[in-house]
Amino acid sequence: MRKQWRQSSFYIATIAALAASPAFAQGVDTARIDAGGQNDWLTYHGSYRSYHYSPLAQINPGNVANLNVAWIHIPGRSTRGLQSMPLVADGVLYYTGSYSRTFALNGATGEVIWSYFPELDEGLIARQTHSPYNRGVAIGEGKVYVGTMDGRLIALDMKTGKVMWDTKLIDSQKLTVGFTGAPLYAKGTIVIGAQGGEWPGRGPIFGVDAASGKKKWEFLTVAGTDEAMKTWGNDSWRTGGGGGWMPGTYDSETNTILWGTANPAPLYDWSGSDYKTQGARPGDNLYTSSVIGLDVDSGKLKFYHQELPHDTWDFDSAVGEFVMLDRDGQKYVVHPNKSGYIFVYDRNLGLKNVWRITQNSNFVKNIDPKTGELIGRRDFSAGKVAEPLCPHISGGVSWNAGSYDPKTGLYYKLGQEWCMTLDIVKTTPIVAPQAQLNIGADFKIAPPPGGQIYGHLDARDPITGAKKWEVRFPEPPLASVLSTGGGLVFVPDSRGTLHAYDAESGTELWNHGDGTGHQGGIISYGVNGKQYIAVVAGFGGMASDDYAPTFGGVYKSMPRDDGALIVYSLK
Amino acid sequence: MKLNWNSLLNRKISALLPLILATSLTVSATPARAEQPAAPAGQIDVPQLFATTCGWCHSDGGRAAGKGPQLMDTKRDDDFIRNRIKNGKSGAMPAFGATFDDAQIDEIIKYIRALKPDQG
Repeated sequence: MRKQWRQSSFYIATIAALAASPAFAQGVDTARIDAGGQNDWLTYHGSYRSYHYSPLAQINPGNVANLNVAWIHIPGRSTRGLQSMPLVADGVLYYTGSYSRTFALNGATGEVIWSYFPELDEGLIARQTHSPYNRGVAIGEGKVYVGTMDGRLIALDMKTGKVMWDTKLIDSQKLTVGFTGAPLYAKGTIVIGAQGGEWPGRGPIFGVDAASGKKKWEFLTVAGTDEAMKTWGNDSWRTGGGGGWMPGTYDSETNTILWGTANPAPLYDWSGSDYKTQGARPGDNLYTSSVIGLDVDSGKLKFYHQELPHDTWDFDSAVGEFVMLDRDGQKYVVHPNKSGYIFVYDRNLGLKNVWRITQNSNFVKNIDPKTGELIGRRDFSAGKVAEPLCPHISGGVSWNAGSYDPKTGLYYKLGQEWCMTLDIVKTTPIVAPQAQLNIGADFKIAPPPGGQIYGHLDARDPITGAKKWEVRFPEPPLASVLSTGGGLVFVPDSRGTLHAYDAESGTELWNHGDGTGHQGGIISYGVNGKQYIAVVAGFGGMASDDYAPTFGGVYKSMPRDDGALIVYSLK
Repeated sequence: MKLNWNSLLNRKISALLPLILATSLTVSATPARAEQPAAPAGQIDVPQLFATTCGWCHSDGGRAAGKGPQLMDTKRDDDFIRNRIKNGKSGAMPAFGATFDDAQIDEIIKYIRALKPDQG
């Protein structure tokens, strides 16, 4: 009865005692991350199974009313807010702020153990659009790994914050893009994907040796194989976009990295319906807007599924969730993409089902749940698009993560209902002196036909999409969701309120104001037998910057250069 | 085909561009100034530039507020706009001072001043 053992107070005491051991503190490895921890949060998605779920049950529906702020940490210089997912190992919390500021904090008190502020190319960052936020770190082999906006991956000693290695991976001066997403540690390799999408590059994903910092491999999401090269007409692969800007996960059974890739550039094509031969980038544009399986040691492509062939809506698949669960003897992987469709695969990315979380969606009529074919797709020609496109460019779902609770069997995921007007304009990729965005349209946010913009938290069966309950929000929440063994679902909303819901019914049980909007991570962990909830607050960025002009109200005065890590526990 | 700024900026305004703006944006080539960044001189296709890069934040070609402010009917004077394009604003707008010379920024300002509500 492993589960009962893990929930016993003796187990917690044992872990707490072990936390004092330096040997244990350096013992974050693949096996430990794979197993997941009662008290830890060892990788961006919680564990490789990517549930964003903590088995801790100390905080539950019966006492959540007593949840209170335990401590707060201010990282400073939070330009465009905070978007990081904290990690916790052995009672120490690691997280990042903007400009890749990295902190190790005592998880019980918030005391700073060490901090590291990398010296960055500030001139470059001043020329970037999707910057300078950072979405977190990876840990493993006694080190903390963080990417930077100027194209580097840095390893820090987990105990001291001392730089162990600093590897330049991208020529950001030329390509403009860098790293905002968290890295992934697996089997001695650090995997990190570059920004891409709308920039005219080839969207690399890197594998770096955890011990030495030496680059082991590089996979190009744009035309990374001979097969893929054939899917880019007119040499458009040279400026194809792509990338993999959110961390995926690792399947230890197959030794495979699972990663989602970004959209092709320009975002909006003028090909009309004959996109195979016409427009800016004729063809399917492999491996953009796809999910890919890479051998962790070699970076070699093992399998893939292109969720959106010739994506012409910027609904990339870069969302990093790969929820691995078993049901009736079948091993599944559940992956949402920005379109609002949720794809269900086997472990080799063979398609099993597709369902949709959004109400307002018209970029296709449907996606065939058996074949994945896009049915009734809208491919635009140059000029005004008559009917608004749904969802909006910010997506039917955020890049932030939902949560799967293995006790309820429900997947808690936020959906976003909004649309956009579009005027398609032929553009030309700009690659010198420095690469620039390549959009291909003028656009404006718009409400769904006959309704208002809103967001919703759904509790759904992750395989079938069957909905058990829904909670609506007047503006789409953008942050990640957390579920816990205590039967709670936590949702940090955009106005700045953290909500706790009953996992079975969706009844709101508690809420608390964090002072500013949320758009980042939330986790739970345990130290010395006490459960904590840690959430980052701080608004600003590519989606949230639209909120003040669109919704007014509290967003008009909400700062976009501020943020805090707020940690809760029972009184 | 990939281009650099030179080839984009030297393109003639295409037939796709709104006629109302095309006349106001057709300007003569301006020699690059020695003291300015190594940016290209010449005719700038500002509407296309907005659909390529600027429009991510300045919605509807600058006609509506988005991530960035509405530019149409802006009360900001030319010096303010020129400075903002050159130097950007931390966390809000990239700096394009290394990309455009003064003449090109003047063309962008002309485009902004000529913006009218979309009739379409």
